Amino acid sequence: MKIERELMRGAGPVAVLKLLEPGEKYGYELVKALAKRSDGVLAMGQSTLYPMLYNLQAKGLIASRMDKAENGRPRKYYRLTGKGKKRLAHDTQQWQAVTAAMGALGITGNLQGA
Amino acid sequence: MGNTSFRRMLCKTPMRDLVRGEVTGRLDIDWLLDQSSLSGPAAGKVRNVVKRTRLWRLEKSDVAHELIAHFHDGLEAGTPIDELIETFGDEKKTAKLIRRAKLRQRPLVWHALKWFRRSVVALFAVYLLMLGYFLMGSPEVKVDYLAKLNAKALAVPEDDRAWPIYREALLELDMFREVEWDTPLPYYRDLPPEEQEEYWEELEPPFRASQMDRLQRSLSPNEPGWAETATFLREHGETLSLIRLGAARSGLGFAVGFFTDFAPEDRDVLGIEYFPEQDTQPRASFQDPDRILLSIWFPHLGKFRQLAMLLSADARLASIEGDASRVYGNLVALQGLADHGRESPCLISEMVGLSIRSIAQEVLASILVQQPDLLSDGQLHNLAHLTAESDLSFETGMRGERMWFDDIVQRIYSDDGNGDGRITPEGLRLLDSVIGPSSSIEIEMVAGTDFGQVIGPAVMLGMASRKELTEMHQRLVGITEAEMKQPLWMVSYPDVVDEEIGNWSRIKQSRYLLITQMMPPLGGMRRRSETASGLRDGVLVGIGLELYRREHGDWPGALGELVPGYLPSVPLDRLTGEPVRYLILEDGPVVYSLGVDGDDDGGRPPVDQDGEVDNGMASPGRAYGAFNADEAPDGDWMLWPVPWEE
Repeated sequence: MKIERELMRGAGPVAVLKLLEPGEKYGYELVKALAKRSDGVLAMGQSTLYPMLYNLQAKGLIASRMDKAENGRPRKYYRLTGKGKKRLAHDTQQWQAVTAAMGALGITGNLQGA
Repeated sequence: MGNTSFRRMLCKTPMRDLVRGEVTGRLDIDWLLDQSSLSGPAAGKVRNVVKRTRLWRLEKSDVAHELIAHFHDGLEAGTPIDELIETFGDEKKTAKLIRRAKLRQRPLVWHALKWFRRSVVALFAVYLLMLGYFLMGSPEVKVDYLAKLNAKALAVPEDDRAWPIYREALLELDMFREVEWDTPLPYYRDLPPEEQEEYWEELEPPFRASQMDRLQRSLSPNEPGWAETATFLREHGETLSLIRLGAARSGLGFAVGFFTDFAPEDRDVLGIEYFPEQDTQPRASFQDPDRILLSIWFPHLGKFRQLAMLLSADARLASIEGDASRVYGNLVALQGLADHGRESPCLISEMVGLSIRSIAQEVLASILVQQPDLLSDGQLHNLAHLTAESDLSFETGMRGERMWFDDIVQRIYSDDGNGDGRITPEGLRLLDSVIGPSSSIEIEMVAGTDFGQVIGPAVMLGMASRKELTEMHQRLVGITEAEMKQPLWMVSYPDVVDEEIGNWSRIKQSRYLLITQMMPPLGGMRRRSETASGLRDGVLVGIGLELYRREHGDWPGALGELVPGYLPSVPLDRLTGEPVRYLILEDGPVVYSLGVDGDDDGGRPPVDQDGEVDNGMASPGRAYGAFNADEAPDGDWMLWPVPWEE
């Protein structure tokens, strides 16, 4: 299922922040993890991921560093900043509230019940 | 390094890499893609996206590195290249989003400069719009203020107009004729010896100058050249009678205007240069930019001063000759002349009228002191009434002041029909011509040139709108008029308007440039009016005292004894509001105001630095600003007798 652009705009960044919570990741790793953990719902291509990463970086929520991969090629790794952690905590609360509200309305009830 | 030369690599290496001693060539996107060994479609995708971002070279390099790495990571993870290309997304959209995100990452200075550039462009655009708006404006001259100014003059029936008589007299007098005489002018005679040499021509007879120049320096018997003046007056006895005849007319009937407006028969006598072609051209409409009220001429007023001078001299001569009837006739004529001078409701006319009345009062007072028995009771009664009725205020002149101002406003501003409007290109040129040359404000008025119109929007923003300007003028004139209606002693600060304008900031002075530059010193005029009124009160008391003395053989013990037979009431001191002071000294009675210092000095006038009596120092006329007793000169303001000639 492909979700609407506006919904993706709200959900995508918080999903990326959440994926970076355990530790740093590179771009392709994030694409794969998003597709896998959201069961394809939040799957995104390069055209969506990289602008999003640059925006999060511009806001100071994530930081990056260049390093060499196992194959010797340069690769950029992203990690959560202190500001990003606070934002993730805040957004998580927001999403939980929204999900609860949606559940109360019977929109996300089945998922919660499952 | 492939086919890429070292030099190209060097050129394509960022400075930060060079500083670290690395020649990476990573700014070369094509080289990067060559090195990446990505397949043609994938490399093309990266190349297109990166180029479309239109970012800085280093930013493009970073993006290219990341996208290449993404493809490699996908391939290594076992994802087919076709799938990676398919899930990449739209190139154009990707480039746009990446550009937008990367721009957000740029330094604050770059963002500040971007907004600065945008602001400059926006301001320039706004200025251009305003320039267009300014250039579209044009003034609408709706009111013919000159016609209003001349309404009274033109309403005088032709048969009752004094001007034709004065004109005839002036032609007969031929005041600008060069004459010779034997007495040097006082000015040159009184020069120090070392300076006299420079003017030896003026010190050695025969002296030459215009009749006018000579006469105005010998107007009273104690001045050198009086004998020649007396001869002139006797020779022109009939002409002086003509002037007295004119002064008895009910109105002057002289229309002021621009120099082309004056009738050919008036030009010679008024000293206006004559160009025959002017008479063949139709008179311009009142809407013509050149016919601004500010530029009108009052050439007759200068002539009035000459006539007043002759009448006053003749009154003095008549008093010496014991001709009371001629003294009386001249004094009455001076009053008529003053009334005629005030025909046009303008401050300048009021000033001339006031000046002529002051001359009449001075002559009357002088004769009454020196030859108290010359004039008959009836003549003194009539002169007292004439003097008492004379209007010494500037109320009529304020009407003209409003007209002058409203006329220039209607020629400078547009009119939106609701009393407001903006400055116009035509108005800016006019402003430049009337204010620019004499402006004390440091504004370079370049509006007279075509290029100057470019400053129009700035002037439009900087200067008050028509409504603001008019309201400010009305407020200031209103304050002056309201204060004029109150006695001077109740006005704490007669120069309040002048002070207010003087205390405005430079910005406000520029904003209300017309008021700053054009408004006359109304407080000063009010004080001059009060000074003339105080001296008139003195003359009236002087006449009352003389009539009392004739009847009772002695001076009254108090001024109250003159009421009501000789005076309707005891005049009030214009500086204190209390009755004027009265003392009988050795030389006779004196009447005085306490003067600006506010204390009683026993009827003693102030003296200047040279020890000379200077009665005016104690008068309101010279007391600018508040009447501060601490700074005021010590002495009383003498109202009767006035030390005119001491």
